Amino acid sequence: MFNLLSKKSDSRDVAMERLGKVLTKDRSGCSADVVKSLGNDILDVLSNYMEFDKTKADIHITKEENSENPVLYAKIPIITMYNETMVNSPGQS
Amino acid sequence: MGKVIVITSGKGGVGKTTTSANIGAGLAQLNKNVLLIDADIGLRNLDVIVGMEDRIVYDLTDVIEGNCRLSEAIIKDSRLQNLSLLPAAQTKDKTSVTPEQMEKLCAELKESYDYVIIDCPAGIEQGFKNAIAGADMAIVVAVPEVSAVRDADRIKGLLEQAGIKEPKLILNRVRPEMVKSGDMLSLEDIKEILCIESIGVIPDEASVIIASNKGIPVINSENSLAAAAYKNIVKRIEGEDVPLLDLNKKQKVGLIARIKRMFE
Repeated sequence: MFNLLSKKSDSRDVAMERLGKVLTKDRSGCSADVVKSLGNDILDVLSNYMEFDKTKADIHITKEENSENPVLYAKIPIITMYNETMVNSPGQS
Repeated sequence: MGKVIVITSGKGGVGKTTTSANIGAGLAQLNKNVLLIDADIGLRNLDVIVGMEDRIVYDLTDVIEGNCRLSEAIIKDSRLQNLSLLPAAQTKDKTSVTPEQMEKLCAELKESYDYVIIDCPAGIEQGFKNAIAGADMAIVVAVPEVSAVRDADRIKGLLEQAGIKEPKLILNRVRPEMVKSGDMLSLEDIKEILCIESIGVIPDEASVIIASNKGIPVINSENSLAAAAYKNIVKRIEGEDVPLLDLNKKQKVGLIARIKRMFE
């Protein structure tokens, strides 16, 4: 009974989440899951070169005005760049 | 030189025609010379919303094909002197007009009208391309539903690709009590998601349906919050800085006024 009274409806939140996903797909031409996996791969590579704040990293695909093709946007706050001896580049072994 | 405004949405049934009629009527009431064009060839409806359905002789396609002069196809509103309608053909289809022809016609009409308001058909095919071809500005109408917002996003992209910059949003059929209880997307939600500026918000109100039954734009109705909202939109189109209507507050005042009337 108490639960029933205090329960706030949340269908607006569901709508927001679904819109976010569907517009990501519409605008970029690929699904939110693919963008997420692409983002993780990019971050994996970057981790060879720098230490960054993963919680604040923002990678998404967007559509810009005046452009027919989508654009990949990435904002990754860098904490420290590794120096040459620390870089773990796949090309060097 | 006048301005051509296209009213569009992508999705059908969100209120493009009603919005076109009310913006047209509102601008005409401000002494602007206004022409409404119904670009929904084959499914015309703007004529019934403004109550001019019995007076149509010629239409947009007749003008384009040269079957009549422009002045012969344009119908003047019987109540509002400055408001006229160029109706769509009902028995033709969208391909009876091309975007180039529409662009030429709009350029010609801008010489004699302050505002040309084009009611765009639903969809993104030729009817849409015709309707936006001669437009200087676009208004995107949406309702607070996932499907309508998604289509509005697509339309916004297509308008920008066609060179119509910064389209403005009208959010229609808002139910403030549902927004409050967390069951409806708010204007702020939709503005954020679409990255678009709004030019007005219309409450979901019985007066809109009553007005459409009568064939008189709701903007003329008294004690209607929707009418007040449309009046504000018209002022904003005219460049005035009008604050957004508080849909919650006004409704309460309306209720008290109604109760008061009961005791009078």
